[in-house]
Amino acid sequence: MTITKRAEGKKLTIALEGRLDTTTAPELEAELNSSLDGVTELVLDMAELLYLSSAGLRVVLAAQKRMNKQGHMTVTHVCADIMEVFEITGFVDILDIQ
Amino acid sequence: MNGKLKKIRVSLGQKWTAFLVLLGAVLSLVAILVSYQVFSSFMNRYYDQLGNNLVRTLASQLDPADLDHYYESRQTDAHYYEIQRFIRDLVENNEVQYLYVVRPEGDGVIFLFDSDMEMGDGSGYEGGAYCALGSYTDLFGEFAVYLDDFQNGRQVDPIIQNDPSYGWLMTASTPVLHEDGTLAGYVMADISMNEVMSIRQNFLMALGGLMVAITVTFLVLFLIFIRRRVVRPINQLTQATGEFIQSNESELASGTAKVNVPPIHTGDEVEQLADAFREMEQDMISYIQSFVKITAEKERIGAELNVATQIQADMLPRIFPAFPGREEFDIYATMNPAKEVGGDFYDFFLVDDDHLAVVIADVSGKGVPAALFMVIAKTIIKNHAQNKETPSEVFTQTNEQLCEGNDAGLFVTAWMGVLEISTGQFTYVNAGHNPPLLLRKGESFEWLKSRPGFVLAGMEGVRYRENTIQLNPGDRLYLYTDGVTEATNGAQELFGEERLQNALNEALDLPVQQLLKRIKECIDAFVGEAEQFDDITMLGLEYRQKGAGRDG
Repeated sequence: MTITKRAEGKKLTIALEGRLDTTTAPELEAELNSSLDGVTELVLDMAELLYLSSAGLRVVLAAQKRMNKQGHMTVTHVCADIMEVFEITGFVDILDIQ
Repeated sequence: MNGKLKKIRVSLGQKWTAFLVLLGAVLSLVAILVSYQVFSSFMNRYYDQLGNNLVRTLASQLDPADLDHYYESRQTDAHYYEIQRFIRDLVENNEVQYLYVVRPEGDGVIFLFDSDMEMGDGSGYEGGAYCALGSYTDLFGEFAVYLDDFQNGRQVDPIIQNDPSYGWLMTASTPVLHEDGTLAGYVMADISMNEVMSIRQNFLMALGGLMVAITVTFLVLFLIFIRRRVVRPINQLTQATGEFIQSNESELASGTAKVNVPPIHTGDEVEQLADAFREMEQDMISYIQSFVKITAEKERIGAELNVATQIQADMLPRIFPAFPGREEFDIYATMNPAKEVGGDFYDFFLVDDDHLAVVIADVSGKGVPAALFMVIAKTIIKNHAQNKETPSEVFTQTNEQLCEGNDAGLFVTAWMGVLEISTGQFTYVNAGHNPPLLLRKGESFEWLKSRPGFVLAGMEGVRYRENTIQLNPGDRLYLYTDGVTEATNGAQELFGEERLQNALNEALDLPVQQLLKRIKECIDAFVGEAEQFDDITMLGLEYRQKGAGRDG
């Protein structure tokens, strides 16, 4: 999986590419832990994300919980397969998906 | 390693010996050549000087008039013998072979005096004794080359030549001149080159012997040194390390092995090498000790995991038929964890005589953390359900409790339904879980879709909504976790919902137990040799008949 970060002031965009599963989720978790300080607007760009497992959902949920405290999180460019995952798991109710 | 060291083809000692012998030979040869050259030129100069001095001494003592006289008269007299005696004395006191006086005539010379002449003896030169006064001989060999110089009374450098009749001689000569510069005769001295050569030979022998002696002495000393300070320590090291591996295999395993490199104090690289070996053995011992410890720890954890697997399996209702005597429904469920302990679970139990609860759930993540969370989730759900709360209340309460202290950020997707046996009314709630498939009698399996609530333990304050459907006798429900649809084969293809639905619809007539077995077989056939990544959990429920005679 490839993680690309782009920061503009207090806005951070993280583009995810590949598979976010049990093996790659810790990578994203570490990345988020280290780079979310002071960020008030987080965008997770999932345009190139092919697969999202429950381990990946856990990291997305953790990011959402943290951003609830310090600002806002948006998820963008969600493909149909991953949208289905969000729908089945009820994540559509708690995420701001655009 | 079996300690089978490769046999040494050429030992260090042999190599050094060969090298040193060669070195000694080359050095000796150079030393001998140079010394011999220096010695020879010194000897040559010495004999040159000796000859020249002698002939000059004699020439200065001779009166040219006497030479003229004896040349012309060819008669010996008292004065002649006086001169002869003087010449003989010179020969005796110096290292010369012959000393003689000649006068060139034609292509040869006439002898005037010869040191070998016996007093009063008149025998001829050809007899081999001496050259009497007046005997003539041709100038031969090297002398002939200088014929012109001799005839004109010029100084001639010493001539060296080997002649069968005279032997190997160096001849020094100097002219005796009249006062007007004309030639009266030549004084010549012969020095035996055989003697010169034998001196040189002796020198050579002595020098060579000395060189050989020095070389051999040094060689022996050096080899003793090498043997003591290099070869023997290295052999000791080789033996020690070989024994360390061989005899210590069991000791290494039990952690009682000891460093066995002998103390070597050569104060050089060999000592360093020995120190490095000692350190290596020490490290090896401690590595193996910690390795053994870790292995034991791993085995212990493995054993505990086996127990945990058993405990987890025992937590799920596994005795079938689960409710013997209840003809109204049939139920069957399986779980195959991907690791020793899994995060999936199913549950079913009678809330009361008329209400059957079924639960299927999947904890995010795998292994021990997921398994622990699963135990908590399963216990809380069952507790609430048995309080006769409605499914939505159960999940709402469970969510609140699971959110407390969930620092690990785990969550559970869960699906729960409660069947009112007497009426077939089925109330269900979904917390982010894959929807089950419903088979209406005489039709085929279709997804029982409903708007799912958020996962359990994901966020506090979530309210879950329940749905109700009517089940009729012959209807079936198939509940599963995503381990089924996401089972992956070697080509990275997912089993998927379509394959699942088809597999179910091809087994419409099977009782639920056989149905679940069939689906598992289909998954196994699809996955083939690929590894199982996720827990595979399924639950089948068949509603057979309305509970007529039971209390409601």
